[in-house]
Amino acid sequence: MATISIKRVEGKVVYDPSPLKLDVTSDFVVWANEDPDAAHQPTLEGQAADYWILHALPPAVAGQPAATSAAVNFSGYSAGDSVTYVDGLAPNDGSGTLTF
Amino acid sequence: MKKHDSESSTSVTRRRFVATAAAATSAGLLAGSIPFSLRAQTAPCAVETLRAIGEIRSVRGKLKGIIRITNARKNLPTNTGQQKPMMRYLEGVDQQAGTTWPPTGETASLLPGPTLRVGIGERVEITMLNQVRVDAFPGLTLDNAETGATDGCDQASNAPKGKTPDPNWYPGTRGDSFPNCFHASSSANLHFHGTHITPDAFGDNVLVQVRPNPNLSDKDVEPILREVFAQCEQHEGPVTWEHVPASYRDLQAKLVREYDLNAIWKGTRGPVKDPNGKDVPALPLANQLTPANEAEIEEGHWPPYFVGAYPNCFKLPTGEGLEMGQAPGTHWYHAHKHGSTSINLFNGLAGVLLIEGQYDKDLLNLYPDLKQNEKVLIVQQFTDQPNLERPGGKARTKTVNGTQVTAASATVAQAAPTIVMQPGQIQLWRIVNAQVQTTINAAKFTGPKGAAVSPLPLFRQIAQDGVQFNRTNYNDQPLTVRDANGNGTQFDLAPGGRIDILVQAPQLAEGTTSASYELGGIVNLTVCGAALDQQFPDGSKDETYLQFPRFLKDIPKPRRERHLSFDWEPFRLKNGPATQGSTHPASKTMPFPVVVGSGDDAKTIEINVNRGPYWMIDEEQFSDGKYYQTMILGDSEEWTIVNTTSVAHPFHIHVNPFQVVEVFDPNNPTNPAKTYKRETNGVWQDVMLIPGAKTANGLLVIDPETGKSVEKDWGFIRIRSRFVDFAGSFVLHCHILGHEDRGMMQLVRVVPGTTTLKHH
Repeated sequence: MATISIKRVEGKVVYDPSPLKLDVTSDFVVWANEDPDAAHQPTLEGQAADYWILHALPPAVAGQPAATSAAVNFSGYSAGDSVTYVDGLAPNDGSGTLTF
Repeated sequence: MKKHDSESSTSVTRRRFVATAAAATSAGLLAGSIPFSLRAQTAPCAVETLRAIGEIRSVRGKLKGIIRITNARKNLPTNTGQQKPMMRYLEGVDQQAGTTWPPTGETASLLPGPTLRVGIGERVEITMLNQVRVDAFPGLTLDNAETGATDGCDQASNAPKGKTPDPNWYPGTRGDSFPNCFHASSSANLHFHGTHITPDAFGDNVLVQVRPNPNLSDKDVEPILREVFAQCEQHEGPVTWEHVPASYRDLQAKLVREYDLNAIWKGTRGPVKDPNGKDVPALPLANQLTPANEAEIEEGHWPPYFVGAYPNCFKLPTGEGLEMGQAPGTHWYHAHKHGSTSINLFNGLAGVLLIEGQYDKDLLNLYPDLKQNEKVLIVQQFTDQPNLERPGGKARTKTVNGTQVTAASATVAQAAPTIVMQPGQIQLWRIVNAQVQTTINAAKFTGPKGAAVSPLPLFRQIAQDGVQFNRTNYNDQPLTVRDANGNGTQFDLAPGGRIDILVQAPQLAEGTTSASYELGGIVNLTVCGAALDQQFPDGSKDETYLQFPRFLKDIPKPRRERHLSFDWEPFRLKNGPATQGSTHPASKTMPFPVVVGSGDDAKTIEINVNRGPYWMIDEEQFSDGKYYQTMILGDSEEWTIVNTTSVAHPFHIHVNPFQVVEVFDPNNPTNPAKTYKRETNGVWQDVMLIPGAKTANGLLVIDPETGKSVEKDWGFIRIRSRFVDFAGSFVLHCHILGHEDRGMMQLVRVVPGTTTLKHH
């Protein structure tokens, strides 16, 4: 299971790591919202916010574990495929990439 | 190697786990026994690669250790992604020898917990620390009841290529619901599988849930737990909560309260301030742990929720003053929180528990070098998430003592650790099947790549599930496929089961200096060096065989009988949906509703192609707080347990082993290894496969009246057990642990048969 941190760096949303290479057959991805300023809801580029994950991830609070998404499994992808995702609540605030 | 010194005792550090040679352990009381560091000697003719697992051993009648649940990224061979999966694992500290396991730098290895080695009549004092960092396990592995995200179950979304994602994949689409779903993955407790001790209080108590607190160290709790252990030593039988030292009660009240204040819920990060600026719990009242604990304590019960640290302390009974004693043998321990048992064992939270006694002394009299050469093998399977949470299956990594095992083919030899023996030598091999769900099937010796060769190594089974064979069973070898000379040639071992075998290496063919063999699915064997001429125990008379404890004499046929049924929901077939009166696999259109249970417990469920079966006992999934079976302390009972499904289920019950007197496998009705009656000399077991119902081409025949498989097709076992010595609450369940987590479990109790009522 792989973890992608959502951070805010110099006012911009950053996904870390990105791109992230996943195991084709088995990896789950979980997003952890470490951004104290905003909620986020990762989704496939061009789709609704709840396309992958039903609930938005609330902002981070100092001293508390980051809120994390449900685990998302990407089945049927092949080596060499890639997926671009954005924040469904602010689609123009940057993007991340998954590779297989 | 360093000792476990005081300044570093704030946490369990990983130093080489090598027992001190001078340790006066329980095993040291046994003639011929030598310390761990000197065992597993290798014949100079070949290198033995079977890894010896570090031990926590008793000293002067007491085992004192720390078992710490923690987490790290693991080298899971099946994962080729950029990030190695985060998994939990066990660290151990032998508090008397000052040593730790696993060795330094091995946090990424797939290893079991330390082996515990203790003698009959001795005490066990374990400090269990749950230091899992929940924030290192996002998403699936939180205790989701407190996040408010689901009804408590793990949550997974499926985003397949080119198809519409299903954000409700698990648990919704798969049909699971709390509490019979995968959940609470970072909560734990310890089950001492095979022990005959109290199931209550600080004994073999699997009804407690210990939530993680990575900031609570052994140093923090040591003075408090010292009081608990001191009281435990003074007290016969389980203590009640009100008699637990106040320091521990107060500590837990504080920790649980803090947990309520700070746990995450629906994005509200605690603690929350009330209008007066006072901290109030982040959790809603229904999800708080403190009120639940207080309610139980108020009623005189043991609280269910703990945080960070839990002591396990008990004495392994000799049988003196009791009706049963502890059987010396090969047992094990593992995490056993309902909902996370399978994922925690998939992460490796298990270890061997060796209980030594007269059995070992007798074996040492026969084989003075037995302890030097004893082999303890723990078979595990590792993965980072249960397959039901994925749309496609994933191969699991099978290991023996931390080394990956892969099967042989006609062209590739079995990859497995290697044991080295001299020709003619006899060794004791203790094998624990700690796999989550897989039976070791038809294990037998072959040549490399599974080739048929002769001669092969010989073996004799001397114990099952940690209970030694009596002389009759030693001679009959009833659980193996026996050869003409009375040797076992093949065995099965259910998940949770253990087998002790004496293995004899064959003599080498003339002109050869070594020979290699495979024990399928478990280990490889190299035979080389000087020839020996050792003999199996003489089973012709009592004087030449191992003493058999009197408390393990046959249970006469009891008057009290009980019937249980291991079920799935009606209409569930192995390879598809319903059928009525035929083996046709598609006589229903999916999805379709069925009613399971009866009366107030009846509920309608929907059968659909994406979900796994509902696993049930007596047509009910496990329900919190309900006792399904109540036995009278001191009674013997005979149970017939049927299996209406097409899957063999390993039946397991805690606290008391049972004698198996009959097995019926409808798919193998004439195979004496699969179907038999044994009214006397029933083998003592604590895990027993209930054969699956009769199938044709993998499908059951369904009775249209009942919606279940046809009664004459059911597999069953008949067992006898004594519910003696310990009243209390515990569980029985399927030892395919995904089945247990998803409902195939019952809460049971043993109550005193006396009453204070006076009839005058």
